Amino acid sequence: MTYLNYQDKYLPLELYAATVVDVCIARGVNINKLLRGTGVFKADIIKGEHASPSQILRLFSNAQALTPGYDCAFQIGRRLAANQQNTVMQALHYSRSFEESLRLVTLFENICSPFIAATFIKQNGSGYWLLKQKLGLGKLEQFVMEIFCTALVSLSQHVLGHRVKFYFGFQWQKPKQIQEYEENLGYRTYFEQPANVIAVQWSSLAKSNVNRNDLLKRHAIHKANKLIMCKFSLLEHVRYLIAGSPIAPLPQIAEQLKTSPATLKRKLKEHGSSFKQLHDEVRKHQAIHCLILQGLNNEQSALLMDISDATNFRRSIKRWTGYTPSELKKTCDFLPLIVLPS
Amino acid sequence: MNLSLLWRHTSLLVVFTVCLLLPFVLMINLGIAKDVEEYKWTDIIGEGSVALLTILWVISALASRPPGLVTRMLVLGLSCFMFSCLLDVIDEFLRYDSEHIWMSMVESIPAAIGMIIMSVALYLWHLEQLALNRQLQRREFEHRSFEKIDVITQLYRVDYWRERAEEIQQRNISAAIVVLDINDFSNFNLKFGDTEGDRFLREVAHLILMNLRPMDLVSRYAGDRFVILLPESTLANAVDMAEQVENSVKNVAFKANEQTTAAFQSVRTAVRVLMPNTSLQQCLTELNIELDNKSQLANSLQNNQHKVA
Repeated sequence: MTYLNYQDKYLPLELYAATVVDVCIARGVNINKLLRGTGVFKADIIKGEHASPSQILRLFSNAQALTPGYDCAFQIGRRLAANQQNTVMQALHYSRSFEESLRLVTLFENICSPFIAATFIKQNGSGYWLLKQKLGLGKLEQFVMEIFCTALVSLSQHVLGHRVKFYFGFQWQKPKQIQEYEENLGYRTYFEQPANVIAVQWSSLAKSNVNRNDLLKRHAIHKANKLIMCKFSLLEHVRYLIAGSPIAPLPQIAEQLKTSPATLKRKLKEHGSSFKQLHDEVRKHQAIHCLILQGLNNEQSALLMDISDATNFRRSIKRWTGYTPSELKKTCDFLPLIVLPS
Repeated sequence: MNLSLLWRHTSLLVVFTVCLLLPFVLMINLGIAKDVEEYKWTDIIGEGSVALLTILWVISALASRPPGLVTRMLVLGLSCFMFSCLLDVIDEFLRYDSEHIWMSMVESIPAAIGMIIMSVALYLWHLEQLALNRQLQRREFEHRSFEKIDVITQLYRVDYWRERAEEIQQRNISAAIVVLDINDFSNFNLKFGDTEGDRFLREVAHLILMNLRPMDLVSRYAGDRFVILLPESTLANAVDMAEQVENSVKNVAFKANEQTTAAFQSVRTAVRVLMPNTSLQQCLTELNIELDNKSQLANSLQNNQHKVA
């Protein structure tokens, strides 16, 4: 079975490395120190070669360690969204509407968002993304999430001429550098949430692009066409299988992946994860989907989630999310978004 | 460690090298080797480390200070001191012959002279610091922590500012706060590039500094946003000040990328008085939201103008 690996070189350096280098050099970081240990060389960036996720993650971690101040991730996110060197990014900039830009992000997912996977849920006029790691990010999770969210906000600014009002829920505590969140993501940020989630009113996405140019967009897509990869990471494969049969144990999932349980365990460990962790995450997201986003009651949710009785349901939800169903609703009280009739 | 300053002190480097080598030349010519049994290891370790650290001090003084009177005297004094220290170490291994026994009497004299020079240098350094403190007025407020300086604007980051504002609250002094944001800065960045954007931020920082009183403090908040603390200022004064900054930024003809055509940029401000008993964070948040609303207002006005046109 094939899936995306840390070592596969498919990330364009002119998009990722050039952006990181730009941000760090402007903040007085030595480029040789920044590239040390990443296996990326200046010449590779100039030639427009490709790097693997593990190389880019090394670069992120160097950037995080070497750059003074708190704005490193946010600046990288901003500049990634503004980068028009890359054909995929050009396509996003010339799209018909912001909604189409986001659709293109999904199409070129492995280029636009190599580290974060987002399950999209559309419910009652609102859109929600539940964010997950595609590859194990370890300590870099917050850094990469910050990049991802800032890039999303910046993209909306470029495409629509103003920022879309996104709501962000993050799993970590309210950070010291809250001013960077305010400045780059806005004031609708909520911390210590059970999952990393983005919410938005659907109507604000459907607005048309101020730079719309159909011919240039189609040209960019044509050029970028060969970059489409219908490949998923191991974590996504396993999540998909768990979601399909939530009570299946590890050996059954391993069998479906045509590998042995021991190998699967080892591979998951290499990705900084485990079967239990993935299973809990999938179930947690299902719980949030049913209880919060769809606003179902416990019985309906239990039925949908294939759990037999009410006490069992409460206990399971507590185990997966850290909260009982009623506590969960309280914690995520900024969700679901209430859409005002316009 | 950044050594670029080191090579600008050619004459001082010569002095340092002479003071470093001369003791060896002198002692090898004038002394007789001691037997190994005569070595006193505790003395060798003690005096040796003093000499070694003095050498490091000279090098770090040369590497961290630009050429000038204070640097010259510091290095000269330290070099004299180092000279004596080195003689001290070497005479653990060598003995003077009878006709040069006077050397052991005079070997500590350079150290004494060096100490005197250094004392004068330290006094001058004190004067220099006072002068520099005056230069740093409005960038810094009764406290120095270089690790909190923002590299892009060379102002302090907001955590420093927050500490100072809290201090002022504790001392029961009221102050006005101004938050300032550049209009449409992301478009500016798109148009002229991020390097020019960073340079513009630096220029705005200078402009704000020029508009402040000596006791005020400006820091970079985040992105293109600045915060200003005006101790003992009334709301009316602060509003005036904010307006003056707005005016001066509006009139700057910024030349991006060496172009001759100028780019004009505007800023918007929000002002509030910080009382000793109010929450600083809440005050800041309210100011920031006020600024964001102003930006939306400006956007919708612009859109309406387009529609009318």
